[in-house]
Amino acid sequence: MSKKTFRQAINEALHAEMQRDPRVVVIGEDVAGGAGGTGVDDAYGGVMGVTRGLVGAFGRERVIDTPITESAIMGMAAGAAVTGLRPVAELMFVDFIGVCFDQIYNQAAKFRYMFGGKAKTPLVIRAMFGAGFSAGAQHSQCLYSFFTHVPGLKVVIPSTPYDAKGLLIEAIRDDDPVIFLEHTKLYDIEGQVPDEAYTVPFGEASVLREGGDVTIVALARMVHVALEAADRLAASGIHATVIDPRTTSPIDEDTILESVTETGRLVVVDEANPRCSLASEIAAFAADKAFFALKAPIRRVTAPHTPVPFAPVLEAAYIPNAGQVEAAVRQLLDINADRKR
Amino acid sequence: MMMQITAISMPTWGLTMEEGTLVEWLVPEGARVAPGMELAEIETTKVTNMLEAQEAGVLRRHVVAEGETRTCGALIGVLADETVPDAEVDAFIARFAESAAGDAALAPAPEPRQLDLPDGRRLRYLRVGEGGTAALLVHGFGGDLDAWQLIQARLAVDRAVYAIDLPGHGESTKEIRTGDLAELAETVGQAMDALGLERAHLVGHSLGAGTMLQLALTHPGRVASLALIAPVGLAEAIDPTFPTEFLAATKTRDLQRCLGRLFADPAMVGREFADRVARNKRLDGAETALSKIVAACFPDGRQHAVLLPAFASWIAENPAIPVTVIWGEEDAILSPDPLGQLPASVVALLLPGVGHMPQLEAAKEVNAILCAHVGGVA
Repeated sequence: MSKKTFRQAINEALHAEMQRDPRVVVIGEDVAGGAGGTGVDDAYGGVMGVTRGLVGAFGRERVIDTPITESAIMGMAAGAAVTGLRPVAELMFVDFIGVCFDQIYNQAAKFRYMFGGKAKTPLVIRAMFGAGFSAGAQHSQCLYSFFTHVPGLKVVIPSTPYDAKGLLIEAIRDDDPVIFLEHTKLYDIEGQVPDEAYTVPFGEASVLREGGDVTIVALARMVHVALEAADRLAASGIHATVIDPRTTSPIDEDTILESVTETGRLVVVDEANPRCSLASEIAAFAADKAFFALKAPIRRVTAPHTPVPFAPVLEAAYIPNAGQVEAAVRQLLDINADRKR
Repeated sequence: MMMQITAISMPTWGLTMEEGTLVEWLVPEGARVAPGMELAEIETTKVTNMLEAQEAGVLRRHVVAEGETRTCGALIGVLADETVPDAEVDAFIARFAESAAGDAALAPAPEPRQLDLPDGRRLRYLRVGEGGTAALLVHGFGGDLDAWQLIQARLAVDRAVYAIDLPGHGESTKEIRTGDLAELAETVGQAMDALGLERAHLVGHSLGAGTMLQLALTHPGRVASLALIAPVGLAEAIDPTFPTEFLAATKTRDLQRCLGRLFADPAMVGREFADRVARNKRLDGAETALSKIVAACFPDGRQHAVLLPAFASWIAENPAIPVTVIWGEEDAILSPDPLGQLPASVVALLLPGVGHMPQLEAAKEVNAILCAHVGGVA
């Protein structure tokens, strides 16, 4: 066990599974550092350095650089999966999903169902997402609700290095298509990660902090924002439970509902646009199934319904922050105080 | 003459404790304390335990108020004689705050390491303390060396104390042949060789106690003393649903429920405790290794090894080796019945209100018992 970054954790998971299972192949743009070019192979290890060392360890046959054609990457990966390989396909930015969505939601996601269970599609699609780099409206979105909406896809959104490694190994060993989303602002965070391979099961939320006054549910980078808010609240005697669902399909309703039943208050923090978002989904099932335990309305802290701004000042204002989460929690507690008067 | 002022610091219990909350001061300011006296109740995310005085003196100052949280090593109280002026106590607190600010790692916690066995397998171990006749601590089924978080440092005051992860457990090798007590004992013997320990105080809990018992029976020359806590290996009876439920639990919440049965008070098992156990269990190879151990040690819902008669003969043949056996009266996994059948020379102690985990649930008592147990041996 030692301290590793989120990036290293993902890299270790890829190394471990490629080592363990010769059927695992990696497909994507620049995953081998630019095949056929005149420069050094694997100079950087993909655009974020995540696939570094794979081509050296496993060769060109299993680490396949592609042209800039997302539809070809996803079509190739989906086909390879049904024929028995276990591809890990990289989309780079999740924002590029538009050009290859058919291969994913209408092909890969449907194979097992439409072939009566006779086809397995052990496919992992990795992509980075999220705002915070001034990367502009086309490279900064949180599109996980697209995938979560589609039956037949599993959706994984880790927030810590430990979870990233264990969930990616679980994803590669899973026989269904899994969308594995990595927040760009998390690649450099550090945490304790075992050197060995291990799995983290899908559909089990992680409870990062326990407190009796309010439940805060958050995903990916927003988990860290929620923890910061919980720290601030604790300084004034308000104790929050912070829950990271880790996977949005399947989603661990039980852990969230149990906590809401105890605290009676729910704040959902989501970096995505609010309409038809995970924040809305979580608020909906909590209202549906824990209504009589609620002491106050459910609050969603999300980005506004706008594209992600390019200007750093506007982008910073767009992303939910700890101050907004703290204010939302205080508002819920004030509602109860008012009603008692 | 130098007037003695002693810092009372937030303790570090176990590998993962970073901070603790002072729940309650049990001694008021101005009261005289003796070593071993309970000073305060400290709560961590995993356990609540009593902080004991290491030295005699007057508890001059509560530096931290009840309900406050501090990082491990932070100053929480000051011990000094009545003769030390208040101004000096104040100066001591101020100096401590300054030095602590510059030197966050006041007493760097010892780090676990890996040990290479001759066959290439590796075991994780943690050493605390130095010199003396070493003690070796081995945890129970499904646990790891953190099981001794409240014990190891206390025993290490006057000796080197090693805690190891058994094969299949913690961060040790997951390679296991059959998983029976003989194999586990052989591995612990190899670990002693690799650590350069010819002879040690052998302390084990549950499966680890069965392992230590097996090692003692075959190698009495390696035993300075033997302390068994809720040991496996004395009688056939075991609650067979515990190991099977433990193996079957994939979610942390199920594991938390299962682990609760180890304690007289199931609330001792927080989510973080269960999460740590779950993380060990989810390492590749761990479940297979643990399944082998269950199949070899607890086949058909019974314990395979019943070593009580052999143990009684061994005790008669080795009268100079001190033997202590500790059991919780409310142990729901292994009945304490064999305690009454041990030879009279054994120190046999039944702890009331305690389940299968006395070293966590009654750490103060277990520490006192173990210190007395190892104390009489050169």
